[in-house]
Amino acid sequence: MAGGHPVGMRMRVTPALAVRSLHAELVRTRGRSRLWTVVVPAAVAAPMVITFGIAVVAESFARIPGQLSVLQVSTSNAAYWVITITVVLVAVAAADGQASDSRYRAGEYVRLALPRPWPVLVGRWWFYGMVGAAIAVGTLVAVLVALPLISPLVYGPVSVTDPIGQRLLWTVPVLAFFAAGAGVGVGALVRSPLGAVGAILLWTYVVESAAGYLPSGASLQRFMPVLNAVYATGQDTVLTPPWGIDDALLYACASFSAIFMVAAAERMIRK
Amino acid sequence: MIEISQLTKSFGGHRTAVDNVTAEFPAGSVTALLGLNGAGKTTLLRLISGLDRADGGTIAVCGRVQSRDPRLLGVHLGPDAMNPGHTVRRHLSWLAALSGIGPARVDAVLGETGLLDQRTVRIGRLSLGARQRLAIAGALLGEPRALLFDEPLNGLDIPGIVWFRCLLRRLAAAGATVVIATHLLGEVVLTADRIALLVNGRVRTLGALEQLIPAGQDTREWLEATLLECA
Repeated sequence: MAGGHPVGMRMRVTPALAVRSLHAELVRTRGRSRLWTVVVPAAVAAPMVITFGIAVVAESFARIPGQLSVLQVSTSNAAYWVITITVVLVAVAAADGQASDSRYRAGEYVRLALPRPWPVLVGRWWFYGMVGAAIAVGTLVAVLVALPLISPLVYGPVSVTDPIGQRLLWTVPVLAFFAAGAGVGVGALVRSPLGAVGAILLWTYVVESAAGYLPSGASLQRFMPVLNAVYATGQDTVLTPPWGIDDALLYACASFSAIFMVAAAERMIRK
Repeated sequence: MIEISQLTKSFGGHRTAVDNVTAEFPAGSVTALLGLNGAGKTTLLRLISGLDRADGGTIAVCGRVQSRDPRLLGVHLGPDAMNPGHTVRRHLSWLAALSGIGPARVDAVLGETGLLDQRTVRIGRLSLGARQRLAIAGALLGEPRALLFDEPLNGLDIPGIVWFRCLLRRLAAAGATVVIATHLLGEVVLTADRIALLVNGRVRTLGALEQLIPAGQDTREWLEATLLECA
């Protein structure tokens, strides 16, 4: 036999190893880790602060005496910050967790215990995906329930039970789950926590918007994954993708998964 | 037992770190891997552990070609391979979770390595000796049948060195295969049954100390003279 160990010959099936990787990530991030002290609080608090801040200002304007009419906001325009901040921070958390492998030679312990890269990456996707989906649902429900209470004149029609609210309730966690996969992929490709986080934030908040300034940029923007993700939830968007909301959801999830697949393939080839 | 045959590893295609090495490390013995800096000791250990891939040759640990099972092979990665922000216990719990080992074993290993009192201390605040004990604890976690140690005595204080000496003898007595790369010849004399001397990636001398040392010659002096010949 040339080339050392025939890796995986007698290892257990991949799902069990992926669960082991998930459990290890849970143990690694337990307690006062960056995940629970910085990223998750930011993913929950930042969209709430922005959304409720806007609502308070809008409500105070609406209550100025002499207003002829007040433009009410529907559910389809209430969850923008949850989608663009919480979901993106889920990807950031996953990228940071994955890229941490390259710090303190932690990756060597991982390679000793779990030689094949696939289960390691899949386990981390599951971990950050489930955490992300849970915080996305929690934040979304809090925003949709609190908005009509904070700002009844402007956000009164917002409801968690109307058709858009119901769609948000399942699409946002689905997108958070797939965004975690993209985050793990970016973390595996970039390998530096700071670089991986920077790449995600740059893409989401700069590249997707700046693409509009390119020749035919508006057409290009319609294919951007994050724009498609926002549109897929039923949230109002200025630009619309060239397909319906269900296709946009599939497109966004496929784009996020593709990043994961590229990273996993790169790991296999490099190994 | 660890068996390696015609193992070769080169870096960049020109420097051969391990050159056609064939050796057996028997169960129930401590083998000291000796050699000057750059002789290929660490590379050989990394090849056996599976961390690096050989260009050619075979490796079998306890008869199995797949050795990356923590219950089969324990690997000491040194005192720097750990997150300084983690506590001692969290580091070992993470290793246990990665390897599918139950949490009860974590407490047992903390006790074995004398780290029980420091289990809640962050690794960044530990002395080098305590981090070395933690790295050794990581290798012991799976109660493996074969163990690889790379310079495990660096940073250990006198009680630590005596403890580690006893640990090695206890492991060998229990039937484990132990391979330890070190420069400390005094410890080799006290703990090793066998030596494997590497020179430029090749095995120059391999065998039981009692058979290698000429009659009437001091073991330490012989080892020192042999290594100086390689310089």
